[in-house]
Amino acid sequence: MMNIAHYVPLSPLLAFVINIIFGRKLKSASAAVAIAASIGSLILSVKVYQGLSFGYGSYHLGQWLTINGKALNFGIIVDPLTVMMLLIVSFIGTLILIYSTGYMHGDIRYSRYFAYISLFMSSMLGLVLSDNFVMLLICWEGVGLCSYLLISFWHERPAAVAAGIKAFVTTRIGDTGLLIGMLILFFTCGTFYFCDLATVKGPEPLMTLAAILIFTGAMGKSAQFPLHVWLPDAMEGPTAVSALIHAATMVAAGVYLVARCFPLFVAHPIALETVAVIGAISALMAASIAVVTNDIKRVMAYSTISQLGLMMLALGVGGLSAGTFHLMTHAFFKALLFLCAGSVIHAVGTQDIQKMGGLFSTLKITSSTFIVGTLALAGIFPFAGFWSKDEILITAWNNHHPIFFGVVLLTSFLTAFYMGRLIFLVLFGKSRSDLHPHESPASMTVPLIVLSLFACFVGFIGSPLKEAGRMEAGVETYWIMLASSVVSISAIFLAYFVYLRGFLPVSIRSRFKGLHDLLSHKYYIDEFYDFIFVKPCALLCRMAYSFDFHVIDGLVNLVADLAQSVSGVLRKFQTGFAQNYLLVQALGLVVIIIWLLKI
Amino acid sequence: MVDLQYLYPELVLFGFALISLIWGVLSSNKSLIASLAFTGLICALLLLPSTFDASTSAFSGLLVGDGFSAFFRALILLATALIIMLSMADLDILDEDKGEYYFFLLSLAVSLMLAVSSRNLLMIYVSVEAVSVLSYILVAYFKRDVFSSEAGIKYFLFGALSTGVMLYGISLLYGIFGNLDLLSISAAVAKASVVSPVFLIAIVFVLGGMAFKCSLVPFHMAAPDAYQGAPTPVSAFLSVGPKAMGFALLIRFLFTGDSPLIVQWSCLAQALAMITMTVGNMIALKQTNVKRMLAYSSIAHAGFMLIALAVGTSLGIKAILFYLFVYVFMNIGAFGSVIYTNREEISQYAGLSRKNPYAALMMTISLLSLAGLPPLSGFMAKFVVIAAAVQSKFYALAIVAVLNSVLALFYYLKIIKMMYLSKEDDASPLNISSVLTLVLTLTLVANLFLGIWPHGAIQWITLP
Repeated sequence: MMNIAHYVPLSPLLAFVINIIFGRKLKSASAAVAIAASIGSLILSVKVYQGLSFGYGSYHLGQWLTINGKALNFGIIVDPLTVMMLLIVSFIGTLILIYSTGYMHGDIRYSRYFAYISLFMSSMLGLVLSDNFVMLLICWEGVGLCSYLLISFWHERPAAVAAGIKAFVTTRIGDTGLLIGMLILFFTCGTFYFCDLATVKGPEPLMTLAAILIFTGAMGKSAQFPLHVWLPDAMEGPTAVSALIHAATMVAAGVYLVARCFPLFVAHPIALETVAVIGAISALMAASIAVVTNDIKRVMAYSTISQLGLMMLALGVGGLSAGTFHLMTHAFFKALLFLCAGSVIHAVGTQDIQKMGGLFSTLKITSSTFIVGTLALAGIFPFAGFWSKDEILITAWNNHHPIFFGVVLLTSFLTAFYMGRLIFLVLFGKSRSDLHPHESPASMTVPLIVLSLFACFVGFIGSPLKEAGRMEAGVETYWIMLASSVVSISAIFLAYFVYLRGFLPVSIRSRFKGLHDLLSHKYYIDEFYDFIFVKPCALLCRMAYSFDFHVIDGLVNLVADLAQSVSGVLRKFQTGFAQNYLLVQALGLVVIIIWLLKI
Repeated sequence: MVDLQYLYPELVLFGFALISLIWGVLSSNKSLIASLAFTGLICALLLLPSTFDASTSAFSGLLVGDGFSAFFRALILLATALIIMLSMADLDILDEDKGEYYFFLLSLAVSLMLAVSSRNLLMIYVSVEAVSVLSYILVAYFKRDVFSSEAGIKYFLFGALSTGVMLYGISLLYGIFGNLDLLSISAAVAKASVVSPVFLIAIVFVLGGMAFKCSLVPFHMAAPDAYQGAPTPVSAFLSVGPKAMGFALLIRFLFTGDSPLIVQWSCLAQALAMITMTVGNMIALKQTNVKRMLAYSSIAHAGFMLIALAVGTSLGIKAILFYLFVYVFMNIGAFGSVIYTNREEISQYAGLSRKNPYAALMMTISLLSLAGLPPLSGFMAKFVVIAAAVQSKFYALAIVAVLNSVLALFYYLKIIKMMYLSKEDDASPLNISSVLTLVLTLTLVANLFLGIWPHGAIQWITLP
């Protein structure tokens, strides 16, 4: 093992510092700085990967704090899971930075954008390298901050600002859970280190509670039900940001956290069950909403929630390797799909898929890569998504969870259906409005091509955690492959007939109107939250504000005035006359002596 | 000869002081003198580790070579090095005759080093007197400037009174115990069953002399005038060097021996700590001159450190030493920013962030560190002091300390508000120099580093 892993996050951090301080002078060179730093991280990550064959574990760079008599070190963990994340983040990050040079061209805060992305990459790389909860939490908040800054990057738009706040507040609810969970763990078992999780013992049900609370943090970050509401709104940010942060990397941090704490969850079946159930609900719910959504980026967002739900479900049925494998493949094809969506939006200037259509003829490269991404997400053989989804199915089946097995099949049906709908509405058929699309510049199409190659082939690598007990795909599981393929392909055909051929009688449509309304209102969850939480909160805030304004501020002002007037009186003693000074000094001495002699 | 080896850093430093004096007279190239003085400091700093040996005492017990004196000698050398760099950039000093200036500065450093490494009251007195005389000269260094001369005279009057009182106390102690070594005095005190009034008065007098050097209330009166009138680098040095010496002497005096004096004197220290903090902060609120405000702020900080002294535990002493170490960087950072911005009135700072963002940032970081906001080193320093107080159940002290921190925030933020939020613009030119940029960047790095990773520095501090 080579102890160079801690240099990986430093190079984007340096790029952030340079861009934030000298950004205005650097102008477009700021992109070059960020890309160079990102490539530096990528090279280092590859080196760390090569070092992995010499064994792995954690090492520390020195002591940081002492808490309750226990030393907390700057600890770095290097194992296959971390290295997989390092490679994903630095590789996709590099591609997205390159893509951004085209996508953000001419933006007034160009250098600021690259500074934030660099900061994000640094925090994300630090997050996966931390070997304890405290450092993880710091980086965790760091990525959250960057997500907030980048969602509201175009802060002239009120919707972007609102979305940023929503994302921040919603994930913060989860973060609080994570903080409480890790503190419970610390106070009962006395450790912040991940490597101790396999052996910790503590009183029940406190430990289960701790595990579930840690999972709440993951729910917030990975946009799982019921904390999923921020992710669709987060699409207000630049599309490249959505691809990097809200599809490939940051939202996967929740899945990473559960995978990192996997021994803890395995030891507490109720917590593991919770993970699976929440994952299943998110997967199904988000996939069904995606079927009726008309905003191309929001379709992607719901698809992301659904796929993250599948990863959680995989972990929840005991499939550590299946879950992380899907995390890896998803990172590539979902980043690809987002970038394609960005390229489409760049070309046509709208996000409404009902206004698009027939773009294949003009956007050749974008469309081909888009189709590759779709096939990968839909899980068609032999694209990346097929392999990882198959592994989830096999795990669910072998671990005797027929219901979750059914959920995964149903989700993959819905997934293939809404992706088919997207493809047929956007790329094929006739143009439904007066658009003049044009293909994007090379800086945007090259990352698309690279990512689409990965979306084709990354599935063959197999799960990075094979040692952790990958199911041997015996003959008896071939029917699962077959079943999932049949389901996906039939869903795409159904979409083809419904959306391209208009093969849906009006009578049937009207019968599903109620369901359609329910879905297009996203199960009324936002409205529910608004009524239950937001409105009362706002009322409370107004009351607190008036209390603060009149009572607290009044007191503070009173104290401040008092201090000022005392200051004025005391200042009079400082006359500038040496005689007075000497008098004060001598009197002071005398007073002290009198006081002491009386005691 | 073995005894002399202990003094190598001081001897080398004094040698360089003499050379710079002679150089100033003989040569017309005066810009080299500062570099010469700086070289001397580096040499002394390099020689310092070789003299550190916990068991040695040199010159029949006049000087001791424990970790405590090593810490303070290093601290003083470090502060002097930073001050010399500040002096290189100060416009007013550039105009004056420099040879003497660096001679006085280096001699002051030597006297301070001797004072902190002694356990004998006579030696302490002689060094303190040397420190005082050199300080008067440096404060009044601008001979043609009325304020500088006035400040020098005032500082002299107070210094004379304080050292006079201290000498009187020392003579009383000698009269009672027939000895000037602190170890024997403490042993004798432990044996005596009744505390006589003369002894009490003697102690108060000695403490009074030391308190003047720390600028504790009510011995603080001269400090603001002196800081305001003195050349800015000298003000910076006075707020760091003699203050460190004052605390070193207080710790030596109160903590030596198996039954240290602090047990009986904690009460007085607590009272003075509270009064000093509050008075310093209160008066600082209404100041309009930055140097004067920093003078009151340094009084308040002395009060803060006195808390840890009053606590009287080993954690308390560690807290003081760490505080002093951190204080060197934040206060020199603040004074350095004053030199860099070339502004003494707070109102002149209006709109500085637009005119020179670097200067405004450096000032802000130093002030926020002085105010004690995390993650800067000032926060850590205050945190350790309050932790020491809470650990020993001095809750009242801790509460007063926290309240005072809030009070202090107000006047520090006033300047920051002026720099960042004020729409006005002050046209006075800045004093941009590369040496100064280096010093400020150094203090910034130290401020951040010690705040985020204080563990190393705290571990490095060894106890007497």
